Amino acid sequence: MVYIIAGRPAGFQSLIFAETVRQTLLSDFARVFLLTASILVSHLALVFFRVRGGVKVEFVHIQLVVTAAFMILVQSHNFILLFVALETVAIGFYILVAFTRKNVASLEAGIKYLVMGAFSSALLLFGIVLLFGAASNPMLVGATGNPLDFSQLNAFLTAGDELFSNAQNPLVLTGVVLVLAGIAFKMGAFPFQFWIPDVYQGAPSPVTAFLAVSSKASGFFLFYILLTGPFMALQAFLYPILAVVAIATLLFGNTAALAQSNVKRVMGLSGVAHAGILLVGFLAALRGVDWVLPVLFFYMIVYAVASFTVFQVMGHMQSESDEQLEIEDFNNLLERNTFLGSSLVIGLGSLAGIPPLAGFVAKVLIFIAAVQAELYVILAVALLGVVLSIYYYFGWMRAAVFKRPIFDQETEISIHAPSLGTKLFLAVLLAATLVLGLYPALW
Amino acid sequence: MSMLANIFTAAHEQYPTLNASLVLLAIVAPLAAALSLSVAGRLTDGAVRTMTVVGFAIPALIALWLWPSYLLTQPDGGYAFTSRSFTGLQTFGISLYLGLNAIALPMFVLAGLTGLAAALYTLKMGIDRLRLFVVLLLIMQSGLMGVFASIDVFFFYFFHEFALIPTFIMIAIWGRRGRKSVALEMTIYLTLGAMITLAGLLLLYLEAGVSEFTIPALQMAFYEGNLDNWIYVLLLIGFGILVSLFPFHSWAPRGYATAPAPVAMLHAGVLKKFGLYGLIQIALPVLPDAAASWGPLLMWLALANIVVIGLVTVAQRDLKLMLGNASVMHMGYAFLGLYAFSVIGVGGAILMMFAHGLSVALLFMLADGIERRCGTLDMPSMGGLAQKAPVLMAFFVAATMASIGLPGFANFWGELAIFVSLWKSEAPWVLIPAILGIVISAIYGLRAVASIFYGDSPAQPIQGGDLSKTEKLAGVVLLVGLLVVGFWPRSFSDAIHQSLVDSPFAAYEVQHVHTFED
Amino acid sequence: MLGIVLADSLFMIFIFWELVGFSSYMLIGHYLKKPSAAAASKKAFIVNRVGDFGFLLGIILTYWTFGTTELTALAAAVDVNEGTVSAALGLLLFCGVLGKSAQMPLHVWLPDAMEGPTPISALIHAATMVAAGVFLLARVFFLFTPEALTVITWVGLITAFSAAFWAFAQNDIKKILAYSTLSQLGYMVAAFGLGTTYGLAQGGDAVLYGLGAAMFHLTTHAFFKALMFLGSGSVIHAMHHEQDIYKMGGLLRKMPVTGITFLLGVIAIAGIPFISAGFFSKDAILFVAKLQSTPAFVILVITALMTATYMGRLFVVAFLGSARSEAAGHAHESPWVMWLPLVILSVFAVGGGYMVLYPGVLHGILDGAVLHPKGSDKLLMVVISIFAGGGGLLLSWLFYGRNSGNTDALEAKLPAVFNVSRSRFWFDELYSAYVTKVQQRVADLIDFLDTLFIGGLLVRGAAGVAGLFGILARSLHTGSVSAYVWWFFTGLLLFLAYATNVFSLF
Repeated sequence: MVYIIAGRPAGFQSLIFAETVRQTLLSDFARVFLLTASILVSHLALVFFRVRGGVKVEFVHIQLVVTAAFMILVQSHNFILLFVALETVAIGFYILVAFTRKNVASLEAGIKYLVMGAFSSALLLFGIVLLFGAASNPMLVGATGNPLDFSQLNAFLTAGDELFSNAQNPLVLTGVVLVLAGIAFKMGAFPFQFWIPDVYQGAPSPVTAFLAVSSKASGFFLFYILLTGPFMALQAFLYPILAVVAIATLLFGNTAALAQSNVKRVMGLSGVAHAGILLVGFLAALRGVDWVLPVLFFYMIVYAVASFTVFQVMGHMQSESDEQLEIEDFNNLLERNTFLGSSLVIGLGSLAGIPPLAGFVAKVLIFIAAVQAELYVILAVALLGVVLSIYYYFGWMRAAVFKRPIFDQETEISIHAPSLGTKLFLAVLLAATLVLGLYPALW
Repeated sequence: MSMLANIFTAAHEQYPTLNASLVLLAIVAPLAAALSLSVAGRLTDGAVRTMTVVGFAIPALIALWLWPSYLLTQPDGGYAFTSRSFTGLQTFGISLYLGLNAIALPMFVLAGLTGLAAALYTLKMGIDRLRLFVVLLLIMQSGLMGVFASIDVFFFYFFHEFALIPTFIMIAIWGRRGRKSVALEMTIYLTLGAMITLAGLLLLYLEAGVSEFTIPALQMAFYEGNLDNWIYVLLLIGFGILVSLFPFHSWAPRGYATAPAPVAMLHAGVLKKFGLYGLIQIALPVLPDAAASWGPLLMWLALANIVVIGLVTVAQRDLKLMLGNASVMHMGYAFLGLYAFSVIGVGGAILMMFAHGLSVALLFMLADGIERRCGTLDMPSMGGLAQKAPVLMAFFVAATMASIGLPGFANFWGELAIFVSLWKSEAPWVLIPAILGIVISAIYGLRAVASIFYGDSPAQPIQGGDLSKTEKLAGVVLLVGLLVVGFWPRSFSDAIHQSLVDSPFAAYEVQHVHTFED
Repeated sequence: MLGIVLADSLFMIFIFWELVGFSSYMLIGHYLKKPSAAAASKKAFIVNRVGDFGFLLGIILTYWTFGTTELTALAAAVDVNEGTVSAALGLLLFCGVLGKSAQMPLHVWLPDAMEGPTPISALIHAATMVAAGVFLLARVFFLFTPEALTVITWVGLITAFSAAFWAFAQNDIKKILAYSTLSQLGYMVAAFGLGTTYGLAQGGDAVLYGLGAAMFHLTTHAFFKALMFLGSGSVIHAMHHEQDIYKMGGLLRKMPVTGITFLLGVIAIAGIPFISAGFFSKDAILFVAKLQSTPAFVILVITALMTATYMGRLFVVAFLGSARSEAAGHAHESPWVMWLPLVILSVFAVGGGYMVLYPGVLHGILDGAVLHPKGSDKLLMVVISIFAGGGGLLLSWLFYGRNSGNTDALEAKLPAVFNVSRSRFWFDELYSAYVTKVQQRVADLIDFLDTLFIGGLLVRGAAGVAGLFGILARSLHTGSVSAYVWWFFTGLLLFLAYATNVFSLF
């Protein structure tokens, strides 16, 4: 598949299946990304079930369905397909989040995710309906017979003159906002991120990683597809609201993570902060800094690699129950298991954006873009966010390297020693983090 | 003498790329040593030690080789021994562009010497989990060599952060009481500084509109835009936090007092100079107008560094806290040199950075030795160490005298040049509190000597004898550096002078002075 | 020290100046076990630093005024351009002298410096440290204005008088010598000030009068002060490290060579005419003083009288009378290695005043520069010298000679005066009060404020605020789905409000 993509010319695109599926370089990239992420998640699941026991086969089945839905989602060129794929993903996740059904927390998380997910889907659908209604209104200029098609919708939205353009139609705007709110829910952007800590904490670790990486990334892909596709004409309209959301997301994610001690909640909230940084890059792109888009994808890769590293390490911690892993449980990990300990340090370091790790380059490039786009206020907030993030990332790291007094040893949780395969797996992730940091040319 | 000189020039002429590769090697060697130590399986203690010494000796020797090589082949103070490798960011004007100029050279030598001394001391201080410590220290050393060898601003910043993280881990693991909070507080604070700096650097880069993110390119750009004041403030505060400019200093004393000695040596001695170096190489030459208009603020802050922190230092009972504060205080002099905004002032600041680095590293090393012998850092409860450890005392007195600015040590020239320059600054009266500062430093320095070494019966019994051979060697490495530059300041100052006179900032100064006189 | 003498640039002088300070610091602190040695060495260095503070300022001012610090170039520059020298410049340079030559108010280190071994004391007092200050004056005499010189004169006068006065209350043999050194240094400085002022008024080579008198006295003083220090060393050695003169007595008989040479030293410092070196140099100073300023002259004469008296006191109490302690009873002459230098120095102390003894070149220089009284003035000066020197010695013999007890006659008869003298005008108390009460408290206060405001409020405060926001943000995660839905809904409403342009209504 990589081979096929590599052979494609720049600017490639093809529309198939009655123009409901659109393949571009971006969608190819997204597919590779999501597929790789799914493979990593399934390895995480393998480790998870080895450590904790449980049924694996069903997990992989559902995961495969969700992955397939992801693949369709990022290629969709039609709101119907988009919604169907999105719902498939969501339903798959309802099951996955509640997968460890003997665990109350997991079930609770499942319920919460279900409620919130349904709510967001409903809004998304409502938005689509409004758009459909507006675009197929024959009273309006450029009304189209197939308003759910992205190209047609785009044509509709760009139609009209300055005095009376469709892009100013309240119905259209309401619809767009509702659609984007539904997607912001996936990304975990403020104020649609409140579900994140509870669900991340309750869900089994591999699912949390799946949510944190794939679900979030697919949200971004969708966001990108919509904003550069059907909603292109509304970029100027959406810019202020996105700026506010980006700032709020950065601030909220970082500050909320400060006060957490549960590692999954930290991962969840820091993931919110990362979504904020991606939004910053996105805003820069909206302001005309084109080169930042590949950088955003680079950032996603880096984030994914580092997150998986951290989740792998978490998976080897045999805490009493999956959702009760605290930062303190990692105490002295570096000495107890040097390999896991240093993996954790490198993973967190990359998330925090420390050279020579990949996270640093990725962040700096996004910041360069932000400066170029003159997003000074947002940049300041992002930088502040990085400083705040040092507290929880390094606080975690500190726990891992910190030596506790001997009398506390009894409370230490045991560590599942990683198998050779896992070690290799982790080594590849670490190598990727380092190499991408030192030599980003590979990307 | 000329024979010796011939070796350096001949080597440079015959193998033009030799020195450039050596610069790269100085960065790679410690990293390689760290890597091999971390991936190698079971190693004997001796092997780890050998590896350490090799990993630190290579950069030190390279620095010592490049020093005369530079002086003999680069009379104009410009960049030499340059090499460029691409890392995939060249579309952003970023590449691993290494080289040394007359301002970077002293820092490079400083990093090499201090690193070697810190490593030697590490081997002797009987630390547990030596191998991990050494790996982290080697990584830090690699970063230190890289910071000052980078012409590319991105990598300049990159290497600083790179060296900062091992610091955090080492403090968290091996620090003394309170390490848990100090490690985090210090790292957050420094990251804040680094982020502000980053913002300033990026703004400057994009606003100046240069095609590559390198120091010379920025210096050529000589940015004059409406954002220059803002950029300068960002750089001043950002770099200022990293150099513990008042009132952003509170991380430093506690951090240094808590850190294990080799970390304190490398951080206070070398890494901290990053900020001043950045101001001198980037902020001043590129933004002279802004620098001039923010001069008064810098002046007051630097004075606060000297006088306020000087007095705070006098109040300390804990030896390491005292040294930490003293090092904050002395940074005030370097800042005053920048404030004076003249070739002699900035040149003095560079000499001061070099000299302060060596002397403070020596002091932290000895302070740790004193702590191990006296079992405490509380100065009033020490005493009588001179009888058990006369050599230790000799080193300590020498280092104290150096930091007070006794002639014969490099510090003297730095301070003197700064004082001389201050008279021609816009507020000559600053000279008075500035010189008063050296009286203050004499007070606390000599008080420390008196209470540690003199007397007969300390409250705490003294364990252990005098300095071991390795410790002496480490001390000698640092002290010789101080003395060589102390007796022969031209070994740096001529080249620095050339470099500054050639820089756009000096051209500005001439203009500036002219308008003053007219 | 040699460096100071040879250097031709103020910067170079400063470098060696500092190095001299450093070495004396190490030498004074030689006795590592004595906390008092630590304190004294610290004090010496810091007080000198205070002086150097002004000195360095002066050098920098010189540099920027004249563009050079080469002494020859400076001299030339001053010659060409008379108005360029300012009083401030000279006074700042003089600050260095204050420290190194222990003038008021920076004199406090010198008596304490007696903590070092005796040879060190002799070296410091007679030759190096303190001489450096006067020597510096001689090197840069052309940089002083009359105003500056007046200040210098009065500093010298006050130092000379006060130190002489304080010497009366000292019982430690080395301390007495230390105060006498102080006093004599004051003499030299005053001489320099008076002579140069006088010379400036006269014009021509006369400017050298001050420096000539000062240097001349410096030289003769070096002889007899070294003699007395070594003599005291011999005494202390014989007394098994006892330095209190009231524990001595009758030593002249026990150790005749030391005693007689010491007496010659006393005579020299008292300035008895013709048989002492001190006469000639003091004479030159007094004469210049008489020409220039009557009050100064009177003070100097009184000081000379006092000098003779307290030195006589020292000799009378320590060497005459009967033994006042066990040790003094068993004292005996030191070996010849100790007394031979005494004899040699005593020759110089007696004859050092005669110009003919000096090698030709030196003679030429001093001869031109030292103003000698002529004719009736000469007679007057001799009379004054006899009055001051002889009178002082006589007074001391009368006053102290008849007392064989362990208490001081002055203390017994005039306790008030004695106590004032003993107090040394409370300089040490003042300084130590400054150090412990003011400096330390200010330092502690600033340390406290630094910790409270910068480390505490600013840094921890910021961290606390961030943490507070963190807790606030965390508390929003109540775990209740309905709350989350409400948040979701609120966000949506805001979006919708924006989309429907509600915000523009406000």
